[in-house]
Amino acid sequence: MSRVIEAISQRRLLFFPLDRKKEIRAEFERVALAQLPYLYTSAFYLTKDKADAEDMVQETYLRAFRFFDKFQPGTNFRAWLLSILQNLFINRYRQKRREPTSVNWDKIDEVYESMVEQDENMEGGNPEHHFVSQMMDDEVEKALRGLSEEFRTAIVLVDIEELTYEEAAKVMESPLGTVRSRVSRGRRMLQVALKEYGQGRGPVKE
Amino acid sequence: MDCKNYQGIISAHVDDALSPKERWAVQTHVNQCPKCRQMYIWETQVARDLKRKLFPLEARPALKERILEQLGESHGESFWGWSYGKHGVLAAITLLLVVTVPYLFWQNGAEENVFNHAIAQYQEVSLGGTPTAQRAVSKTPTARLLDLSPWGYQILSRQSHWVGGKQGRTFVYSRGPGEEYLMAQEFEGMEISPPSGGSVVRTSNRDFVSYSKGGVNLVAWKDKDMLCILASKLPKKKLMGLAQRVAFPS
Repeated sequence: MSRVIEAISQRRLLFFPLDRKKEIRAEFERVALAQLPYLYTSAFYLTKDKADAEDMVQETYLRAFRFFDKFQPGTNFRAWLLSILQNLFINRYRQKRREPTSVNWDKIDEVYESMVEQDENMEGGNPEHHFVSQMMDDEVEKALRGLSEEFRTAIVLVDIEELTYEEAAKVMESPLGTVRSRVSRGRRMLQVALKEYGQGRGPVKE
Repeated sequence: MDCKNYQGIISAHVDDALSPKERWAVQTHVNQCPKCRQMYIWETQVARDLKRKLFPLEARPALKERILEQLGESHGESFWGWSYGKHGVLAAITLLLVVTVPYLFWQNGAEENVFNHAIAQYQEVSLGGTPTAQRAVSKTPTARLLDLSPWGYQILSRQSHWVGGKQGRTFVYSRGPGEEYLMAQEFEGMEISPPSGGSVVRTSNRDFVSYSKGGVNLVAWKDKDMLCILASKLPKKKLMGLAQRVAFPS
């Protein structure tokens, strides 16, 4: 992380002289706007609405700029931005959309285990038979959008945003064990959903 | 631990997200158990393919432009630390006209004007700017009654100003990144009356006026000679609760 960002962390932005602020803003834009696709991706998967996602990303940047001094140099800047985004979603957007979270775990596990078992019974096994590899990118995206929020968020943070489990736990404000469980279960649900899509049916839910 | 337990953390093992002790335990089990070994191979492939199939989405170029424009507006500085950009100057002039003309007719409905003015100022805050008040003065004030630091709020900006012939102080607070902003205003010698569409809650012989407009909630009360206002996008109940805690700190 640059020296400018380190300097910012020492003092509040408000007290810098104007020419210094220009430098800080330029640095913020350079570093933060590089994260735009990642922020937009998370916002879109959280809200499932392009306009809401854009509004949320825009506000995240404004807040990040205001609180730039709170960023700890040496930590993951993308994870910090995603924490702001996640809080904003919880405070403002989540109230609009209450999603059903009831999932038939027995059914999910049963279908998933049969998929793995079926593969195992084939001569030599062939992991290429799993449905993720067989589907088009947009079908996988669609299946991801169909997961309930907590599992969708865990998959997005780990598999798309490339955060570590510890960073994802901080963003989600959840224990590490919860993130492990959500990634594991989320991937299973995704595979089962893709299998169902592949067979022309809807995802397995109660 | 049985197979079920190990299978629950195989994904984390695939992602190299286990402690050395856990990693050793899982790997030892996977080496000995054909079913879990098959699941490990399967999940390794799935994780690899998911990362290949799911990638960051492209945002519209217009979004980047919007962000840059807003950052510019929230970044420009006046000498007392309030923000404006190139559009902010025009907005400030417009706002000055908007607030100066009603000032001439201030005698009736003054409090309602204060409330609407507060809401307009809050909306400026939530758009990334900072509120611009009439006849702002350059000194940086200290809150006499609305110091919200005991409730975990950090002050982001402050300003003294004159509204409707009364001296006021405006403070913008937040509890941290991603949290809703809270705007607090104090006006000396200003009366309180419920605006149309507002309601009054009476607690411990004190009236709390609640008013909402444009998604912004507002609570106002009198403390001796001071009119106190809190405005935020926080839910009404939460804002009222905070107002009452501030009004009755003990």
